[in-house]
Amino acid sequence: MHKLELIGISKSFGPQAVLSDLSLEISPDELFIILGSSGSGKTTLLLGILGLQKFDSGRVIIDGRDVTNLSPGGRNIGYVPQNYALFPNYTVFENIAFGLRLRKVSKNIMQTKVRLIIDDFGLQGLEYRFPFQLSGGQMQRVALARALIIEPSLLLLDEPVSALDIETRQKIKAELKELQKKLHITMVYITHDQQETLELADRFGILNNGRIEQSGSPDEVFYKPKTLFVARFLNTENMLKGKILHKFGNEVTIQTNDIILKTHTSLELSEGDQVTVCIRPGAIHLRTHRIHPGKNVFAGTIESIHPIGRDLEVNVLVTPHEVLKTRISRIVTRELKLTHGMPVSLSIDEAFVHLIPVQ
Amino acid sequence: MGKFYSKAVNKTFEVANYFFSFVLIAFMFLIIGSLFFTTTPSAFFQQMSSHVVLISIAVTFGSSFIASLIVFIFSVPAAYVLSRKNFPGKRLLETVVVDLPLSFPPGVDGLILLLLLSKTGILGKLLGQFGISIPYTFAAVVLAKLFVSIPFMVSFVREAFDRVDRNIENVARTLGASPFQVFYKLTFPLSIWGVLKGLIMALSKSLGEIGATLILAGGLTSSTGTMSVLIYFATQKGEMDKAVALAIILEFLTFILLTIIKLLFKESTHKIRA
Repeated sequence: MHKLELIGISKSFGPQAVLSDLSLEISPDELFIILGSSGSGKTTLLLGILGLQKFDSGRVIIDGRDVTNLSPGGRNIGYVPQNYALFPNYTVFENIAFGLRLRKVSKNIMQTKVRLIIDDFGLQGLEYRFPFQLSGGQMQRVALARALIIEPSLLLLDEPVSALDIETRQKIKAELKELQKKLHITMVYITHDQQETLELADRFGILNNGRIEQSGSPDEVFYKPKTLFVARFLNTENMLKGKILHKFGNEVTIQTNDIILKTHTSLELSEGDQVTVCIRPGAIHLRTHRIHPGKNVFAGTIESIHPIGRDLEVNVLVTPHEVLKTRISRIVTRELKLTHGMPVSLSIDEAFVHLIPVQ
Repeated sequence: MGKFYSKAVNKTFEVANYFFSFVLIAFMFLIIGSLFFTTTPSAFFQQMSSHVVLISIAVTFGSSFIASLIVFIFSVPAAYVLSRKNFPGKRLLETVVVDLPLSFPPGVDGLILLLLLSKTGILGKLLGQFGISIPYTFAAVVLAKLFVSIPFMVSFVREAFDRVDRNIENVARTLGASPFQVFYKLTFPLSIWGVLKGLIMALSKSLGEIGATLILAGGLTSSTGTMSVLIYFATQKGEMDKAVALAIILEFLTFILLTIIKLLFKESTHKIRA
């Protein structure tokens, strides 16, 4: 049950500001993901939290205790780097026991604790192997066990599954989530992978220009991006330029190039304001029979069908200049016998028509 | 036509490769092997029992081992600083400590040291106040060997430190290890093959060193006459049996040291791959 607070963190390398006045609060027992592209400052932030690099300004607070000036060891943070960084000259047992040995824990207690965690992580029989004799998944477990045995206040994971094959990755992700719930540990997870973020995070924050551009639950951020950067970064498939036609209370009518959409918003908008309309494909329902056009219902023809992972993205031309993208599983597509040029109807769930004001 | 031409070119290329390789290998074997044909076993063992030769072997080994030990003590921290720390002027320092001495022509090292340590030199004057004079002594031999082998050692060890994953050190720090504990529990053991390679390279450089030793230590007294210097003087005087006997020993030792380096390299490459 440990809470992490970052207050006004800044860090520059020469003239280049990598982190600027970043503030963030991570609740106890939360799996918080910091999502950012390469060069967004993820590693700098991580090294600073760990105490391996000094921030230019700002404070790192764990459970109300200011640890900004403490050494990395004094902060009691577990760390699992991307490549696991197991100590090649130590066996699995010695790797796991490393932190306890430094804490001068008695031999008996140390052996009991290491044995317990080895059992917990399914590493029995591997105790006397060296890291190069382990598989990727086993290395990952050893790295986790080594970090957790010191009973850290929080656990920092730097892209911990990116080096694994898809099958092991899925398995480890599930195990991580389970572990977090079981141990009630606050986890900070750093990645550039959106899919991973949506699958694992209790909450996540998007790092851009040295700040957390937006944070919240996956649903909140994914469906309701606050800025154009977040919408683009999360690959919002349908981003339409529009302006407010009418506003009545929270209910607004938006005119895009050729279509009229309705939604509810708590944003302070007035008639005539320019907005970007964001709609996720999952909120657009496709039907093969014609429905009479109405509120957020449009008739169109299939312009193209593209495979996207396990699904297919169906682009529907609803007016000569407006294409809406929806996503359908391959099986459904086959059942509906969707083909290029086929007339279809689209209905959009009003709750998922999200607006970003144009500054 | 095109196919025939391409075949002919490839065949010529292959034959040329074998031909030039053969000429080169034959030439090297001839040079190295010629030593063994220019002496007889009895002449060799007669020289080996000579007092002068035995002393020169002792001087060479003694000075080389002392020099290598000092090089080890100073180079490991210097290599660590160069590998791990960033500071203004680092590149210049690397050039001065590693690159420049490596590219000095033989003898220039000796001249620099002599100018520095002679009675009128900066260090020579200072040491003179304490009644210490380095040139033409055993200490000069050690110093000459030290100066030429430091760049090799620093360069090898630094490379070995560079290869240690920084994440390993970072994790150890988060687990509570102090920078010194990280060094002696992880960084140094993980660099040990590189350190050993550097040490053997420094030792082999020390054993064969002549330019700086000749200028700074002279080599005419029993305490400064290293094997290389003695070979030089023996050939000048036409004492070829002595020169050849010493050369065979040096060649043999260098061969042993290079074999050890190759084995270490194989070992470290294997470990890195693993």
